[in-house]
Amino acid sequence: MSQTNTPTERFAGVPLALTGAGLAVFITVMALQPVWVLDIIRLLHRFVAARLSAWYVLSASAFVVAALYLAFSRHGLKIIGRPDERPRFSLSAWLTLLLSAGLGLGVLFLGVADTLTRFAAPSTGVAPYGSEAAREAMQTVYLQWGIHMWAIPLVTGLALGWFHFRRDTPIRLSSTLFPLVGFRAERYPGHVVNACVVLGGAVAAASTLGFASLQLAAGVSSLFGLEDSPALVLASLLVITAIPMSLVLLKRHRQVQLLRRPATISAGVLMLLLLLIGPGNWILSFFSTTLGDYLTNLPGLALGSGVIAGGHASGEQSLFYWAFWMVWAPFTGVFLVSVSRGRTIRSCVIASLTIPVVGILLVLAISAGAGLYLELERGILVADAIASAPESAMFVILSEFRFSFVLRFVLVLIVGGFGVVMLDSSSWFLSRLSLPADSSMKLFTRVLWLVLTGALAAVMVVSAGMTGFRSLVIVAALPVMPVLLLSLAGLIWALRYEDREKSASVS
Amino acid sequence: MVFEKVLVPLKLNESTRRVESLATSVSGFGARSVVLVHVVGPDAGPGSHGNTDLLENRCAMFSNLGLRVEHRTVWYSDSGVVTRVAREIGADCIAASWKPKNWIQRSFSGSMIMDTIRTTDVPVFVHKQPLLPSWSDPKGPILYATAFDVVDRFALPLLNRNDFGPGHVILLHSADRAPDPQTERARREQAEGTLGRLAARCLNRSVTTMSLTGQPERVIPRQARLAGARMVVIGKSATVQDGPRPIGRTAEAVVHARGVSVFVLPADAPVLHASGSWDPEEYSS
Repeated sequence: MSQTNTPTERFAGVPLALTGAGLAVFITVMALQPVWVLDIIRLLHRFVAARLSAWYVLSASAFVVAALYLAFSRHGLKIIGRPDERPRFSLSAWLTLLLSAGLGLGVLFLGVADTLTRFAAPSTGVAPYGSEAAREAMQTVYLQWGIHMWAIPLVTGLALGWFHFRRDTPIRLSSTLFPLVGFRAERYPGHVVNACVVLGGAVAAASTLGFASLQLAAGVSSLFGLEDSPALVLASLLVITAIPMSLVLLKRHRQVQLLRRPATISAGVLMLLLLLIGPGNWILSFFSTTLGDYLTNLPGLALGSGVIAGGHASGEQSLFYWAFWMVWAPFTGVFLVSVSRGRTIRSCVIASLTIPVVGILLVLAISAGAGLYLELERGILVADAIASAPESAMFVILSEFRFSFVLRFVLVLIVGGFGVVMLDSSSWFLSRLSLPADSSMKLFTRVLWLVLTGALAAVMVVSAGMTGFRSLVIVAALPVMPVLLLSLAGLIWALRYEDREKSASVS
Repeated sequence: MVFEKVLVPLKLNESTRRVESLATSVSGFGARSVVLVHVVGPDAGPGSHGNTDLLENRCAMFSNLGLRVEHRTVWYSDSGVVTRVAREIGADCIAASWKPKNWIQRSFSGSMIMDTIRTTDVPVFVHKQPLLPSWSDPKGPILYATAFDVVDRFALPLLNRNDFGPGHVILLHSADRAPDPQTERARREQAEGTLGRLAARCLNRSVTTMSLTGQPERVIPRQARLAGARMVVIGKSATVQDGPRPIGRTAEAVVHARGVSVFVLPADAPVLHASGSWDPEEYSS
């Protein structure tokens, strides 16, 4: 009996083929001609910074406004999932899961490094190394890791989750565009959209893997006095990639997720220890002061693109963060919405914009605040060392406190644990985005994504370092940003359609 | 005849061509008699209602087409004056010529025709001059924009009558796209099936059905112009609420659309009797 496939089934592998082939070509060319490729990436980065940075800034703020609209409009009372669905997690378990979403690699690396770098070289005419520079640095880092960081994935996740849980569509960005483009969302335009999002996700995962490897190498070097060389970074990267890869091949990949809880608890314990061993009272008062500064100045901070200040520093740094959160948005967003299934949109938005935000800002205040305390109160100069080697930021700070070896050792384990969990989760999600749920190629695809992510991180670490990653993320977010905005439009369309459906059935 | 008595609100400053065109349309959809109601505006000077020659001339335009004509002059008191007069004289239809207004004019001065459509419970024909000849052919098809609601019960017998105007009928259903492919396919299938069933009830006409995806307020005027439709037949909102039914977003937009004559049917429509006339007192619930 002959069997005909629908267009959806026939082209189901298109996003995978497009992104897999595109990434493989990129990695090969990058490995052979890194200078050319980096020149192109920097050229595109300069173009985005000069011509399109305002779009990134406005889009990030638009997501915050959209999140508040979804929460406080009539849509806020709608249930994520079926209308009669019950919450999957108890209130305490749900809030803990949301809090754990905030603790990750980035905050202990980029957050701390960028704060101290900014403290050493503020962009707004404030004198460096002073208390004003510290407050200004903390405000900016709160902006980059605060409400905006969560609003972008939250709104994207609500769109993906709404269509998946409520309308039974595949969990892909193209599904959210169906109200706008119709059946084209199931054909090539939809596949191109999915491919862009998957590509952005792969770059996000590779960047985070690269950051983890750099930080792990810096940690090992700090602990055992080894030279922080590219070979050590590559070895760290190999270890982080090998663990999920071997477990996936042995079909024991669920065990990787067992690392998440100890890593999260260890990070929490580390922060608590830093508060107890270090200047706890000073840090908490610094947190309340800088939190007040952030909340007072939020609109001005959020809408400033840095053009007036010269187009660099805060604007440039924020540009990277907005891009980073956009390429990560589908991953983080689906997590936030999945754990909130059965709850109302309003409760999901309010909880997601408060619990993890407060958690992550507190972690930033403790970790970066400890570094600022060393500079401001004890006269120990750590900022310049961190500015020249950002990957060693936390290790430089921890080395100045009691029990520093233990603290740094715990941090190495946390970085390794988070790196492995992140890589495993991202490979799972990339497979999910690039293949149908019932595909028989799941194992192959996961391995493929692990290999491609690892290879991309390796070539970027060797040839470009952190600055190259930042440029690549900004460029990769360029096609993702309009897709996320369109998915928001699709979500609002779907919510209004449901209202019309309901009012039609009533009349 | 389909309509026994059609009320035509008239201003004497309307152009002869526009009134002639309106008279041709009114005679074309099966009216027996016409009551021309000269509405004297609140800002009219003394003697503005005394231009009897012009009024006689307007009456002649209608009577030359075989319609029985009488006329009245009323003072504009409020936006419900036409509705009130229609009720007093027992009119079973109101026909008016549309003067385009942009949204600023509409915001400041409102529209008597829209107020009449909003408050009346009889059908209202809004005649418009097409901007391009191809937009509206006097012998073109009648386009019935159905929302698959209670209006169909009244509209289909009307469309089935040859004295409502000869020619082809297009049954058009347009709705917003559903949020997901499965629902959208089901919606389309359901729409096509319902359109087929409605078409089967129009035995006296040649019927084409169209099921389109898109905002009805945009799709309906566009399709009417493309088909060169003589008029668009559309129902007011069928939403159940206290007080008079609203016009509805779609009907309001189609009435405002340029160059498309519209026949607006109330959702609480009088039952059209097979004998050829209806009792305005009898309503379908």
